[in-house]
Amino acid sequence: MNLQKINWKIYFKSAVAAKPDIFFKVFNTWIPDSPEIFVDVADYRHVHDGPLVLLAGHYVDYALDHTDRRLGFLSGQKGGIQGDLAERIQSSLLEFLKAAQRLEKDPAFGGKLDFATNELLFIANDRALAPNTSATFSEIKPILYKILSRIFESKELNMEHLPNPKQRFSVKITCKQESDLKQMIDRLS
Amino acid sequence: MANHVDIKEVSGSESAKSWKKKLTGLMPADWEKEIDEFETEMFLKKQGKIEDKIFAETRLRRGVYGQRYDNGKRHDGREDRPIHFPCGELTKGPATVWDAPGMQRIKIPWGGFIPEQMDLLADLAEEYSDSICHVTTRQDIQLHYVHIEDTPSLFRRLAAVGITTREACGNSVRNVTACPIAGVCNEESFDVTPYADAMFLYALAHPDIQDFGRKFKIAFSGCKNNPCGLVTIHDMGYIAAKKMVNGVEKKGFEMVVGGGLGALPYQAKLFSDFIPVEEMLPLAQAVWRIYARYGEKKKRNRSRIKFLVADWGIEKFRQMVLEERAKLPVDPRWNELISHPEKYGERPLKDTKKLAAVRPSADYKQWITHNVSPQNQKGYYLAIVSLPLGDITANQLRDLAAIARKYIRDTVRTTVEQNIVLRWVAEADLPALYDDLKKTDLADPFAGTIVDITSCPGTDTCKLGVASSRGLAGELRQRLVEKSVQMNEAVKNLHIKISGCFNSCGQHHVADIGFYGISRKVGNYVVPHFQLMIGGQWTENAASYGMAVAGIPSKNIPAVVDRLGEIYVKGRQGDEKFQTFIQRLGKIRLKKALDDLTVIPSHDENPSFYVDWGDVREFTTSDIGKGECAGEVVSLVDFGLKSADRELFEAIVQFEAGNLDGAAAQAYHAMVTAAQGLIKGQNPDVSNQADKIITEFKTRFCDTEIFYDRFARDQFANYLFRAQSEGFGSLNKEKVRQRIEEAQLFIDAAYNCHARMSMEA
Repeated sequence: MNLQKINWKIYFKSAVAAKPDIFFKVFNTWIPDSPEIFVDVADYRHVHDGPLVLLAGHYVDYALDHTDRRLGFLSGQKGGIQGDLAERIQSSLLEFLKAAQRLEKDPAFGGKLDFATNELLFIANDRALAPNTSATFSEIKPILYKILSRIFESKELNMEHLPNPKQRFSVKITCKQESDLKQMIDRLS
Repeated sequence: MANHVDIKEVSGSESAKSWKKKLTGLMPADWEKEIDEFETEMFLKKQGKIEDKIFAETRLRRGVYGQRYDNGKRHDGREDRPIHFPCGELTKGPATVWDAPGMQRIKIPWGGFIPEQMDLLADLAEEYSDSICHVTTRQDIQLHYVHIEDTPSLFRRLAAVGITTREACGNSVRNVTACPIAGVCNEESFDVTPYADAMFLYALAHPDIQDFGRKFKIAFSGCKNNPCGLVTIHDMGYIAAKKMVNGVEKKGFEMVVGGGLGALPYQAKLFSDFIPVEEMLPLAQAVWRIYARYGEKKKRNRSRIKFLVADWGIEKFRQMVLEERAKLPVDPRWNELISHPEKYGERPLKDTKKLAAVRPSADYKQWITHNVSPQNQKGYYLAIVSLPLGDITANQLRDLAAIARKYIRDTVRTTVEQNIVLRWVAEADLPALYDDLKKTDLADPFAGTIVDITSCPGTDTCKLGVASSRGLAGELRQRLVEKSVQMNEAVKNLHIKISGCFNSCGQHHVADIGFYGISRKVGNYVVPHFQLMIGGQWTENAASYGMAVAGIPSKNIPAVVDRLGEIYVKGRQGDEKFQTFIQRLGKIRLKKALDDLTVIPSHDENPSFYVDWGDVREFTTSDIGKGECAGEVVSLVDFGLKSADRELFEAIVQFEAGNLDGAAAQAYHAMVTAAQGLIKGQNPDVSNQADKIITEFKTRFCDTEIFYDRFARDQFANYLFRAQSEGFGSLNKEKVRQRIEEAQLFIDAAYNCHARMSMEA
């Protein structure tokens, strides 16, 4: 499966510091100051159940996201990642965690951005290559497990396929223990 | 940063192939062929075989539009910064970088869509865009940040559910709009839906709309008084009417032409106070032919039909159209397409039942007051889903599709106020519908009020935007929502419309309070402003346009709106309408009342005035690019030669696949297409039959020695004639290869001939 469009989402423990106006300012600073190719920041604070602030890029989009009415940080890889499926999933996750860490460190949030690192959402953003079926889950589950058990270092890793046929193929990943982002990145690098 | 390879080589390729395989045969055959052709043209563009200008117009006619920063630059508030897209020099139009994300416009004829289509639009927004569907002021849906490489898959998936993007942009007949309550309205003469659909089907890919100097917009309204269709701001408009003819009631239309907003707004002129429905399509065809033939093509800002109508006067225009109409060969589709209006009849999902006694909440009461109206059909209601800035998320759209399935079947329409209407809601279902809409945050009780602001994309995504219309609309909406509970009803019923520039996509001329983006230089700074337009008339199909009052700094616009409300409430006499009040007050007094709000504080005093709404950068106008609304003027000859190129490429593909007969036929056909393209420059009505084309080509180009090379003389023309006599069966490989090479030379000669003729002209 040559899946290129891979989304990851991590939630916030508390929404207090995850203010859309701060994200808007911070994402704007990423455009000129990143090796990635970013194009613009879109403000969708007026809508519900979707992105609130979106940093649109060429290879990847980032968003303060309220889809399914849970506030979190979302990345959407659009393509161009090298390697086999496992390498692409790992690479997209690593890039995503580094972006989350970059946010966490940004002084605009005053050190208060608080990610719930015991939960992640994986979305295959391509209904042709990854239909939302148990067959897709059977194919992707072992790959995800291998990668995620490295970053969580926990045997209590749980992966739940979200089977709503209208939605994209998604897996909710939970773990009993939290880690800090740096540890997660180190374990994956 | 992840280790990336070149996206254009890899992105979506397996995915795109998968969609192509899955959907082949599941689309209308002609749409499928066009999508395949577009995919081939993309490939040829990447090979450098299609000119920028021609490819730009080609993609525009598929709704693939440019977006801000697609020239590969973005101003960061201090200076222009390059965006290093990996495609290098590859472009998809003049100064438009291939890899830059763009906008995809999706035509929704007369605003009608069904739950299956809504689900698909939600899927596309997630997979190819940013999970937002935007409803436009012409009932289209737009997706932003779409990569051109994804467009063939997007088209195929749309086509498989009956949606085309053909002619969504470019110099063609754009989406045909219609009153979103047609068929259920209390005041209409009759349901215009079947006729709007007939117009859409007739215009789609029609040969007579392929050579316009600019876009052409058509609207339908069921009545004269209400604003749902905004007919008078259109290039051509139809208002339903009935007339007694020989004692029999006939359906027809009041027909208007030559309206349009833009920098110079024109009210459409009355072409006829009654045309029978049978004349709707032939007269439209005659208008298109006159516009294509006589409309301005070089001066882009004078190319809309409104200028032709204004220059000629309506009497001469009418006479020319009627003469053209008389000459038209009969087209059976004129009547076929309107012969079964009954098939558009809608049925409710639920039987009507009286609403049980409920104790409504204040919010529900507000929603009923502003968003719900009784239909013409007793016991049924239409409910407006008010979308902030016309935006709806993928999940919300999917939820709305589920709600439609639950309550109303497939009777959903978009509106020119960027909302969505659910029709045929049984009275007893209203409370439950409200609860379901509220759960998905789609029950804002502000439809048709001052809160329900219309806005074009402005600087958010449009290349022409001067100021942030959406940023301002978002800010105003938020403030007005907070005040709405206490707001005076007269103020609450006002309409605000905002455009990011003078081109009026936000329809600022036809609002009580309109704004369009401008800029003002103050010392070394440029300050975002909006021009205030007052007194436009929204009702009676947009019967009059507003007038400019003053340029106001963007950051003072909320105060201006408050002030206008206060002045109106204080000075209004009885039930005096806003337009009447403004006329009585006079522009001078009004301007004076706003004078203090035109003052710009110094940068030191208040730097926020130097940053637009919805932005953090110091304001600049240097991101403004060349717009694509005007499309590119590409002649029928250019399009013909481009098609010949594509067909020749397809011949090569067949040759390499070992299909010799197919390759020979395709190469021959490529030459015929090139010849036909050349003829179109002299005779747009050229036949589509190969033998007739070749005969006409011989007469016009060979006998006259126009298609003649100084050294090769008539050699290239003879390639075509020989291919015609040889046919394309049983040629050996060597012969087929030779045929392909000759076809290439013939097409090259056609290009040279066209270039020579253009220079001589």
